[in-house]
Amino acid sequence: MIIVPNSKKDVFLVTYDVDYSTGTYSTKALNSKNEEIFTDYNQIEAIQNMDESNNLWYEENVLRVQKDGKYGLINLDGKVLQEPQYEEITAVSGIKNAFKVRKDNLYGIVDNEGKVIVQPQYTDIINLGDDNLSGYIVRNAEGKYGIIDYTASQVLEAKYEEIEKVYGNDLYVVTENATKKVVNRDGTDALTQGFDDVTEILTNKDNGVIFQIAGKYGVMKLDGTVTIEPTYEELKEAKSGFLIAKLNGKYGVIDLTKAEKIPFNYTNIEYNTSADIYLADDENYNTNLFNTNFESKVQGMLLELNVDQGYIKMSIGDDIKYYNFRFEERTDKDILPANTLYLDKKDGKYGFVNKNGEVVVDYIYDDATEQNESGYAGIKKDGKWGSIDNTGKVVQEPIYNLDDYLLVDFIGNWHLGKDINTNYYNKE
Amino acid sequence: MSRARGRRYDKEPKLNMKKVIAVILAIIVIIMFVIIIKNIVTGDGENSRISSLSYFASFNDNKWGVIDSNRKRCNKSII
Repeated sequence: MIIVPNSKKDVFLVTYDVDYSTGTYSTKALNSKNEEIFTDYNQIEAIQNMDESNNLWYEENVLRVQKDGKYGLINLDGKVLQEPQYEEITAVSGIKNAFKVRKDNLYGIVDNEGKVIVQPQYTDIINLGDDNLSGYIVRNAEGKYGIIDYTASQVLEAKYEEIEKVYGNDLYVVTENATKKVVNRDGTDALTQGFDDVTEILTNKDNGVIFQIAGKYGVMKLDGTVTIEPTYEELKEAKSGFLIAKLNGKYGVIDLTKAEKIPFNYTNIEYNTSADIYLADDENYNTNLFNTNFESKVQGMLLELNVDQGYIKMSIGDDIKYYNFRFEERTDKDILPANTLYLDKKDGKYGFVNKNGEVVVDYIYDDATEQNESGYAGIKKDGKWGSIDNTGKVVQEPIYNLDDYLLVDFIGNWHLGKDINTNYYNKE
Repeated sequence: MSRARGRRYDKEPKLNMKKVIAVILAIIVIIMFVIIIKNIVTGDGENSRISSLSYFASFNDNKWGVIDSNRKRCNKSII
């Protein structure tokens, strides 16, 4: 098996001589000239991680190496970041550039530059939030949990039986003496009763927390005043003062007075913080996009929401439309200025035009993809997929049945494999 | 009897090679700028898509390899 951890670097990690009965295997690293590199180590591997949807990804800038039974880290230029000295190195789940290391059976954290953020001194350590700045929940030798920040300074003393990944406004949800409660950073109690669980600390401290009792969710202030009775099947904060709620199996958005901002008509609602947009899915798999004033701005099938480049791609009727985050319609030429070809549709058939709108590829295809970063686009005819290059020339005649593939993508005459987690291209 | 007064009074004019080279270099630089600006404005179909080389794992006939995004080489596994 070959893994390319960073598509822009010619460092390829090869796993071979796999013995499934013993679980042993050999590894090596090669460059684009097929030369073995980083030969000082017994093993060299990419470090795998998972996102919140359980999609597999690999750290792009750091490799794990093993020598004489100990693990260390190097970057993709071969520079040693951490000498092989650890019993184990894994990624911090869901977080880039943070690695959990074990030495003498104690855990610590190292970053992607090889800096020891937390010395190996805990019996366990897990991330508190979604990034490496939110701090860590740590367990000491006595089996008690506490919290440290990203500089390894103590935030919450390690004296609790459990700590939830729920925090905010210097409030934390902990279990002490078999009792779940909300505590302040100094360990004093903030909220101790009236709930079975606290699932979220609201952004504005005055608004309190989202709590759960008997399987229903509501909102309670820190003085115990219930401002929203626990009647909702689900409740989570979208942005300060507004909550995504589930009632009778449908989702809507309410404010803290329970006034309905988006009606309870949807099978799912998400709030995208970067775009400041609510995405509400209906039963027909269409997505209704609401702006910050809860005005419905666009409805259709959501194809892509790209926060890096600031655009939304929708399928509306037979058309593909692009919008910026202010819901101003944009052309694909605005959104994808580096493209040489742009997907176009006419009379139910797809073709491609250039920047000037001149037809480069005739409207003869039943389906097609936009040009990818490498300049290739997929084309479909008579149920089969092929590809064109960035001049519109067919480089692969449509011969592949890819209808049950999650993603159709081509590099030359190679198409992306069915399991996108394995991330390889093939010709089958 | 004539007195020598320095080079500028010589009868035969001499070519100043430093100035010649400087002028040639200046012309080359101007031509380069014109070509660069022309490419940016018109956009050659072949070259206007800026895309650095990328590598991808490949698997075919039960064999693993790597392909790159270079149009001239992307049909072959490079390993």
